[in-house]
Amino acid sequence: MEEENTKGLQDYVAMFKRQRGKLLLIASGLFLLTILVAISLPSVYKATATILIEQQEIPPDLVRSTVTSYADQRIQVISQRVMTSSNLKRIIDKFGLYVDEQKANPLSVVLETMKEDIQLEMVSADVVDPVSGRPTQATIAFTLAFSSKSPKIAQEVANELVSLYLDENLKRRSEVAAETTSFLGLEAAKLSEQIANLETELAIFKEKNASSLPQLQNFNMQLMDKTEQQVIEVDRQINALNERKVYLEAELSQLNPNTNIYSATGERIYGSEDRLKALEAEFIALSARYSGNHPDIAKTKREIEALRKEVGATDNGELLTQLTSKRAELATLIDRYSESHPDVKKLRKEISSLEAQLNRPLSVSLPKSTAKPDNPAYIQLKAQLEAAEAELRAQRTSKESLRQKLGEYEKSILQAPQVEREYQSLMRDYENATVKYREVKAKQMEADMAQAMEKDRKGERFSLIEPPMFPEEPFKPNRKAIIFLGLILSIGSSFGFAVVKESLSSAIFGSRAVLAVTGLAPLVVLPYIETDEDISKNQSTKLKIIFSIIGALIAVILFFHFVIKPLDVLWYVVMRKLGLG
Amino acid sequence: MERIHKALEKAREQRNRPGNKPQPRTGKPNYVTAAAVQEIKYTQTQTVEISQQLLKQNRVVAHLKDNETADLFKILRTKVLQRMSINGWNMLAVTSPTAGVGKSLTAVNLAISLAMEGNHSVLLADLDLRRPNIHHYFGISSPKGIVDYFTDDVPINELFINPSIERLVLLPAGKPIRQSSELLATPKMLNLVNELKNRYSDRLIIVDLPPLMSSDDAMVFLPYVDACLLVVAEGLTTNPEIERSLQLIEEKKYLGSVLNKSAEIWSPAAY
Repeated sequence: MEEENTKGLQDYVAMFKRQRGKLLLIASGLFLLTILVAISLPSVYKATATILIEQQEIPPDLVRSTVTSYADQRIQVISQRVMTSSNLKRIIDKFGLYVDEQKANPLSVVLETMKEDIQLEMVSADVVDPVSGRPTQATIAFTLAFSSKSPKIAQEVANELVSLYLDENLKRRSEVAAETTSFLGLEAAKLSEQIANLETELAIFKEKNASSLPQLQNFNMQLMDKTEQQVIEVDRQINALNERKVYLEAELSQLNPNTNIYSATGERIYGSEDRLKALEAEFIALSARYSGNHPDIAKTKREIEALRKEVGATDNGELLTQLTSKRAELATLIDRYSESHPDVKKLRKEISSLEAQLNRPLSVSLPKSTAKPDNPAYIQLKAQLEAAEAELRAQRTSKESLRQKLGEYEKSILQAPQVEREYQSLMRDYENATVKYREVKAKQMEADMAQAMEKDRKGERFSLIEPPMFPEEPFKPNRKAIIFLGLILSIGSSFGFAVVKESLSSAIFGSRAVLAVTGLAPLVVLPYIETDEDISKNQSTKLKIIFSIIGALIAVILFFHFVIKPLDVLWYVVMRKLGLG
Repeated sequence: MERIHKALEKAREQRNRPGNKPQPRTGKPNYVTAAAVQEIKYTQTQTVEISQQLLKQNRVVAHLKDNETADLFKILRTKVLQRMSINGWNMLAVTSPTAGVGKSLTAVNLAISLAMEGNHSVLLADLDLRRPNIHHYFGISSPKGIVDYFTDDVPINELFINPSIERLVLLPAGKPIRQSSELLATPKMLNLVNELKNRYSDRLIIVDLPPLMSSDDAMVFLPYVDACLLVVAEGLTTNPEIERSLQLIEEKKYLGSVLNKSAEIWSPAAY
């Protein structure tokens, strides 16, 4: 059974012989069909422009462009911008393209067709990346083509597209440059405003914390030291003054404010106080010697009272002494007498009056001394004392103010770290802003330069090195290839048909088939036995067929020549389509 | 091809060797004797003159010299003879799965080729009783035949026809009949077969049977024959038909097949 599957060359030859009529018919039919298709396919012309991407003329080290995307990426972006519906529609309307398609299809379909007819191809070159040093692909140019059934339209539309691309590139580049510049300008303005704000803030802060500013720290310390020393100095002075005052007072107390008056006898006349004291002492001595009613005592008493009035100092001590002696007297009397004894009663009265006198609040202080001091030494000392007291007061005041100042300095110094922190943060903000501002400003200047470069067309640009030519030859369809393929296809498919037909039919073909079925090869393989009659009949049939084909061809050609198109014209057309004319 | 070429070469060598020339009929193969062949000099057989032209027109070519197809029949003849002599057979049926494959023509050509070989007399019997057509190939119009032998008891000897080819005798079928299988199954038929087979031991009998698929005639008659040759036609006979035919033929009686109407290059002329 395996042999059934393996067919030798002779089997195919035999098959070809058996099926040759059908094979020829199928092959020639298909071949004719492909020829017809090849000739009837419309010619498509393609106009191609080559656009070179030129590097910027000014070295990038000097002026850096603000357009930094890769060239091919940029071309794609431009493509998208150019191939908008409105642009394409404008071109369609301008050149009257796709008239038939527009009738049959919605605009979107026509636009799709047009996009397919526009071909954009990058031209790359192998270069070495100057940065990494590795070989890479760089887009150095691109081609832009338009396909159309009319060569003229292909050229015109390609031209239009090229100009659109070039314009769009320029527009795009200057737009990008301008955008960069304006953006940087805005940024700079923003930063400058920020800096102004910070400056104001800083000024206010400085004003508010004038004494605690970090740079005043040392100064404050010095001031404080100085003030402290001043305080010490003042203290020392106060001490000295106090001492002086004490000394002066002591001195003063030893001096009688009044000058001692001497009588003519040279006896010193006492002053009121001295006399009072003397009298009081005398009185005590007298009262011991005499009774109370003794005229000396009474006289002394009156004298004392007058002096007291004069001196003004009612001495309670004296009253108390009296009270004590009266009480003692009363106690001795009670031992001796009854209560109703007149002495006792009298004593009791005296005691109560003394007590009343003692309990009475001190009446209006009498002027100590109405008499002006007249002792010059006393007066001098007194003046000195007063001066010392005045100075002491002044020093105390100044000490107070110094203390206050010291407190303030301390406070400032204490506040300083806090203030410093805030101040530093403000300063940092300010410095940052300033640095940023400077940077942005520098960039802005660069961008300005780049924009100027773009404006003067000195940047990278597209230059049309090959404008779209009028396409003399259609680029599509490749009729020769179609005809050649058609030839192969028709022969192949006719053979395929034969093979399929034989394999599908269960009829036997060839001795191998017999061998496969019967297990034995046929004893003999006989051809169809042809008689002379058969041969001549076949020949005449063939002749008839050939003649009828020729006749039909002539008829068709004549029909073509007179009804459709004159043959000489057709010949020209065919030659041109085959690319031979 | 190689093998065939060799075989042909060998056959030709044998033929050309002086000792093996068939004309003097010396060195006869096996049972056939020259005397016996000489004996059947058509004493009772009617001879019909047949024009060569007519035979050629009817595609009977086996007797022609310088004919490729005749050479092919010689190959077939040799193969058939070899197989039959090994088994001691002398009656060969030629049949086919269906009609139209060229069975009768093959039988005629084979018979002529065998007769031309010279060592045997050949009887070609037309047993396709429904559509008898052997006589057409020889241009004999409506002869009496086997049917007449059965129906009218015409003596069998009167039915033989010699178509002016040496050692070839035809037994036509006669008028076409429908009840052919019944006739073939009769004892009279068996007798006839026995007589034909045994009367002349050196005679080869070629029987043209009806197609196996179209009627039961062939099945009825096959038991009488020694061997059977199956004719198939390229592009006409199908695999199932061949398979079914082979089932109908006893395996030991199956002599082989002939592929007819083939486009295959199988010609010794290339040699």
